[in-house]
Amino acid sequence: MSLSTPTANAVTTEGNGELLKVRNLRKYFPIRGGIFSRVVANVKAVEDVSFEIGRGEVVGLVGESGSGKTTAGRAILRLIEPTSGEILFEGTDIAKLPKSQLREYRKEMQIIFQDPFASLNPRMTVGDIIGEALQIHNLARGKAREERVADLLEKTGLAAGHMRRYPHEFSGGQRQRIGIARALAVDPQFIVADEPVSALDVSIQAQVVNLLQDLKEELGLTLLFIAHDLGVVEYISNRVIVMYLGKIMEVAPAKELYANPVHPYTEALLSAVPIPDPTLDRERIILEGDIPSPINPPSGCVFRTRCPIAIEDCRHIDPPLEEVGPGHLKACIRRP
Amino acid sequence: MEIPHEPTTSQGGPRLESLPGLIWRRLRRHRLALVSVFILAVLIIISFGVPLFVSEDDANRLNLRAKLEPPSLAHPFGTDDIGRDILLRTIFGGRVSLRIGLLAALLSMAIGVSIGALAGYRGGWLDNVLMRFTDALLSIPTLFILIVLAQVFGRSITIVTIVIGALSWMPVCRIVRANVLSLKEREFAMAARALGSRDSRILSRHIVPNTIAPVVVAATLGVGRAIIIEASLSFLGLGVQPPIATWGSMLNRAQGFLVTAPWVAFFPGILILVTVLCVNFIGDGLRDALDPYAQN
Repeated sequence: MSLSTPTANAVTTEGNGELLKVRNLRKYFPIRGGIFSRVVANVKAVEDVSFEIGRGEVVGLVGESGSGKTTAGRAILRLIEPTSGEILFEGTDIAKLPKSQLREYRKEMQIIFQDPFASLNPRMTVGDIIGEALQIHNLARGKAREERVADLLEKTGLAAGHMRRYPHEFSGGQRQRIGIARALAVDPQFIVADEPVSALDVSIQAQVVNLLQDLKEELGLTLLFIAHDLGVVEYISNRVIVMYLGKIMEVAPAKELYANPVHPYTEALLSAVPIPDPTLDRERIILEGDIPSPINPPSGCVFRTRCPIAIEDCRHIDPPLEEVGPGHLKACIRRP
Repeated sequence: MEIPHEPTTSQGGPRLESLPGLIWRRLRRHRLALVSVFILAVLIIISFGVPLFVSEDDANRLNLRAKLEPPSLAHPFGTDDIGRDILLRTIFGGRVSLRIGLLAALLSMAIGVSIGALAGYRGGWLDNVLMRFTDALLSIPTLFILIVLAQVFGRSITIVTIVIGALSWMPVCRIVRANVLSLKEREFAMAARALGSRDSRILSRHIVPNTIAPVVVAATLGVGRAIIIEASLSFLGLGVQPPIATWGSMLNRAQGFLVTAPWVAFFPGILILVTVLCVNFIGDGLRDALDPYAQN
């Protein structure tokens, strides 16, 4: 939990200054029990996470299921209330804003969800779904709204004629495009893409990732791209953050991370990325067991119970995030 | 970069169908429901149409020389123990019974949806208070409260309607609350919050519309229930004040002559049965038609 100095100086590759700075973010979900509904334990979904994202940058956030990446993404947008920590968006701490002022910032920060079937209201037309934000923020009405919706549909690779249809008439990939169009409706600066392609067929995944990439270039978006698969992230990200059990294990520029992973957890994740060449032989690092319970995480380094190189010290020392190269940070006492 | 299009059925294809259109198309395939819609429509038209041309006094006019006459050309449904025409009384009674059934169901739906949505969405202590209140009402026999309330507030049509409506919203409330609990965690509700929607908007535009299917079904069944409750009340002599005819009060009056003059009980009785059956079949049909996951 000693995480003060190093990340503050992390290099942002785009160099246009910081857009978002997250400081010591925590999210605990209380478990209540007994007759008086007292808090008997906490699920520590996000435990003291700090990072920053530069303007125009795409940051990948990876980790296996239960690592807290989705919770972190939602807490940053205050879709769930963070337990503690600061979320500085252009210098304003969103974590402390009252609801009324937060609504203004909703225009700047949007989210794309994982499940394209759960994320669209089945009782609304596509036009209403995408146009809703325009209505809420009074950005456009009547004819202008319709034009804007048509424009957004075309921008995301759909047709203007789709606006009168209902979500159930679309395929998963198309629905995800609708979700993207909805997020873009308010002209946000920052988008959290929460595993936007995990629920899609592989053939469609590339299309949606390409679309995000194009939109990012065209609109100058800043993205936090959450995924459990390093392969997808490699393609789109400038920098990658690796999380495990609510904590950051390693942060590095994308190329550097793939070429030169330092943390044993990153190595294991990378060895699981499929390579489209069956003749290529390589060593797979198989992690034993499951991710431990975030209610009662291991002492010291949270990864030590599954780490192939753990030693006795790992049980006692909570590894700080330390710089190993320019913009490259790791939390491991076993690697120099 | 060129974004490849997925194969779509898009661009002004022929199946541009609205949701109500889809529901109607599905309902049409439910034979029993369709027949029920037709029968109920006929009943409603007769019950509310005939009174436009005939005065209610005709239904209440007694003729002591024509007591308990069996069905004939002059009196197709026969006459009751004080010589009133049963056909006319059945029609006027139907108007009252159907009105009470429909309005009470509508009222119970409004109360049930509001309380259920509020309890489910807000949660916490409010949820606890509202749901314990609901449980309490559910645990008292409805007919018992109705009898007490009917005594206290009198027996006009409006009051009987309100009392029935106010005592039958609990099942709707529980259905709505359970649905809202799961819907509010769905990602489209979260997306609406991310866009800056207020709670009132999330509830009214995103959550409540998605509870419509079970609510409509419950409310439809509620119409049948309300008609039966009204009939029971009238049968016990606690319903709408005589001489206003309702199907229940006609049954009540027929008690003495079930063997000697069965037609007095038969016509209102069979109409209660037919109406409630129709309503239940329609409810069944709607349940299937409104299921968003059913194929076509």
